[in-house]
Amino acid sequence: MIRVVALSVAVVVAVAAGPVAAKPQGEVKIGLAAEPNTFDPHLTVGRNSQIFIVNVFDGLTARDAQGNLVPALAESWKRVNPTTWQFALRKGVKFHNGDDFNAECVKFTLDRGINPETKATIISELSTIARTEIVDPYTVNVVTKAPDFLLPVRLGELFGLMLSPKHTNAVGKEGIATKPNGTGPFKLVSWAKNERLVLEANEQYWRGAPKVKTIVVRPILEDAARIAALQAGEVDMIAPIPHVRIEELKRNAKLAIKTIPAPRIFHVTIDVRKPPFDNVKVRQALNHAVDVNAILRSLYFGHGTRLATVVDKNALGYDAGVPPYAYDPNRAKALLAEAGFPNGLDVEFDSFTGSIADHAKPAEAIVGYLQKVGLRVKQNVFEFSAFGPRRVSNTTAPLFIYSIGNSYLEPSWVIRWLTQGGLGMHYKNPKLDEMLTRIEATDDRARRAQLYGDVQRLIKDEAPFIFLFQADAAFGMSTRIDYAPRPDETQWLYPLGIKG
Amino acid sequence: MRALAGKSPLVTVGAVIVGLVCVAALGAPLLATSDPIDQDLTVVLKPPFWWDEGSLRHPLGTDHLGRDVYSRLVYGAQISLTISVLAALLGAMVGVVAGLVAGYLGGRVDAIIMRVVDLNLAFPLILLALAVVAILGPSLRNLVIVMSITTWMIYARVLRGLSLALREREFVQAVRALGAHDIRIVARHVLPNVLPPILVIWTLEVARVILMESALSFLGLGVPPPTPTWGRMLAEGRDYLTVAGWIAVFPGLAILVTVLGINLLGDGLRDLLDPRLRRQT
Repeated sequence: MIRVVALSVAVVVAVAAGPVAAKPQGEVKIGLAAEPNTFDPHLTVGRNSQIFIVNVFDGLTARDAQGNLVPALAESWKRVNPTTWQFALRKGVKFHNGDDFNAECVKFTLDRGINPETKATIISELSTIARTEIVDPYTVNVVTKAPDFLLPVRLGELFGLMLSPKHTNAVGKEGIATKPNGTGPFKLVSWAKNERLVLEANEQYWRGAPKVKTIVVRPILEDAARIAALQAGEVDMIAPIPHVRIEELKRNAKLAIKTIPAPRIFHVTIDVRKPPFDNVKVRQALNHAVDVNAILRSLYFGHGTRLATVVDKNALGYDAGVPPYAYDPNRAKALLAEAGFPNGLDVEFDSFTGSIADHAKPAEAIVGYLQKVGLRVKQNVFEFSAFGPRRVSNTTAPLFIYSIGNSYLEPSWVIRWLTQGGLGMHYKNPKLDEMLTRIEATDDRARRAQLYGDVQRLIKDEAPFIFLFQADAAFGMSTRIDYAPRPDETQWLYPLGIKG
Repeated sequence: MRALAGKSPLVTVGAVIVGLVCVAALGAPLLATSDPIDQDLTVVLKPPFWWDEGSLRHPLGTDHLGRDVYSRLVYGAQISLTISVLAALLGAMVGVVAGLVAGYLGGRVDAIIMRVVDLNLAFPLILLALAVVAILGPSLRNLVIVMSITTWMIYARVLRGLSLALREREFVQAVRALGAHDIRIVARHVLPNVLPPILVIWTLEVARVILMESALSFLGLGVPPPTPTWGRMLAEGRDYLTVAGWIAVFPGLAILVTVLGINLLGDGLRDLLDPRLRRQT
């Protein structure tokens, strides 16, 4: 870990020493599918908020364009004992209003996050923290309730954004929602909800001033309207773009369409408690029955990646050497016959509409494939808000489609979530638990990456899911601007530039 | 009817359209060229046959899952029409009984029934349907129930007025004087006299219910997939309007033409059955 950090520091320093002296200039307009619900980092609802407000704040850590963990407000960090992480903070960083950033801010922010009175919406990501201790003005110890190897990642761009105690106390809980004061590359200057949100460059930013002076964000909910706004030049950049429109927009010479694999892992959860799905042969049969590549070609127009398991391509330790189940309906039928179902079987399949991504279409295609190997499937379609309670009460059908965003790019977090024994997910395997526990006790990333190979092989053979794919996220932009989408879903606008 | 058709060619058009849709609905298994729910992901988004990449195998092209649009359209007629006719029938039955009872008995019964009608009418119908489907869950049966809830009040309103007037007419008074039971009076003497308006309302309500079924399916609360209905096809096609417009255009046209046909036929029926208009002709 130390070596990685040191290397990353060197990279950042090298970048910082580069040509960043130019003053921010120009204006860029952006059309997004949603705007944040608040700028209070502890009260964000939905990934759409978390991926955006990062532009005004900084976490203790951050990710580079490749998804590697790099220093931000913390210059380095180390585990001083199994449950204590020590962060050495960056000196000379100032909030937008001039307040100094120091250990007191970290303690204040984390205390606020875990304080039940705050009712933090992101509490599940912070609840591992027991307390925060100030060692000296620029060193803090964060003590966790149990060993937590993911803490430095947690305190990054999504869940570790730092607040200024003076400002936060002065404006109050309601005030901070619309008057944020962070250390980030942009200041929020105005926000008319559902209309426009204006960011202005923070010229004193510790990484160096951003390139663009003003960023105007407009929420445009309808896909078609958002695309039309880009085509008409009303906005310079939009996200997301439905996959079906990518090829058409790519033919437009005035636009640049950039895609990146989003860390959202689609899968069908199989209720292994309910016969016949306790039989591994039946579960493997389901995996052989679905032509995932054809689904990617026809529904995603090739803008996706087939996954052999529930580990996504950009996650640590993704093992390309684990081949996905081959599409083989005859093998599927043979496996079903071996399991005692030569004439197929009856099953229900839950799907839903109205969540962050389209699950209904792939579900329909999957059901079509399952029917072809002899399953008589009854597909249920729920509104997402109606499907939630079904998961909470564990009354989902034996098969249901879902997707999980791997915000930490760390497989163990995803697999723990997928085997939690609740929310309709009931696969348990002591051997898998043991492997994950060993991985979580390993701070050396390279070693962890190696250990994940066996985990992927085990999960694939056990097939507690129908393994599907991850879809690309697509950004559309005018050729006049320069931007590269990031692998962790964040809309980090610091590197955004205007050409020429 | 023939006399009327002669005077108004539009009624003929309406009758022909409705006839054709009924034929499509009844003969779906014979008319369809492929299985409407059979997916083939190797032939997705193929255009209709008169385009270059189109073929007669899929005369109106294929959708995003490689299903035959023409066959789905024909089977969709079956589902959409069945639901609409059943919902309109159920609504009519409830509404007619409620209206007759309210109008004939009057008094407190009338007040109670008509307040329920007012209450129901005061609700935005789509919102009501959305709420009920969300609670009951989407299925063919529930959809019929939900849509009949949005249509019965109209019959009740009209029938109450009519039976109120009929109650005082001499022939009804005469039967009552002879000692006939209320049920017999309503069924044998009042009901036959209000059948023509019921038929007209019913026809126009079928058209409205088809539109509503489409709207609910469009919002994802219709019959669950993969069952084809016109509204669902329209909703599925929306995402592909710019690259494969035919997925949405054909069901859209089908809804438009069918509703137009039923409305034309309904107008004609009204002209035919309205005694005042009949006397003029």
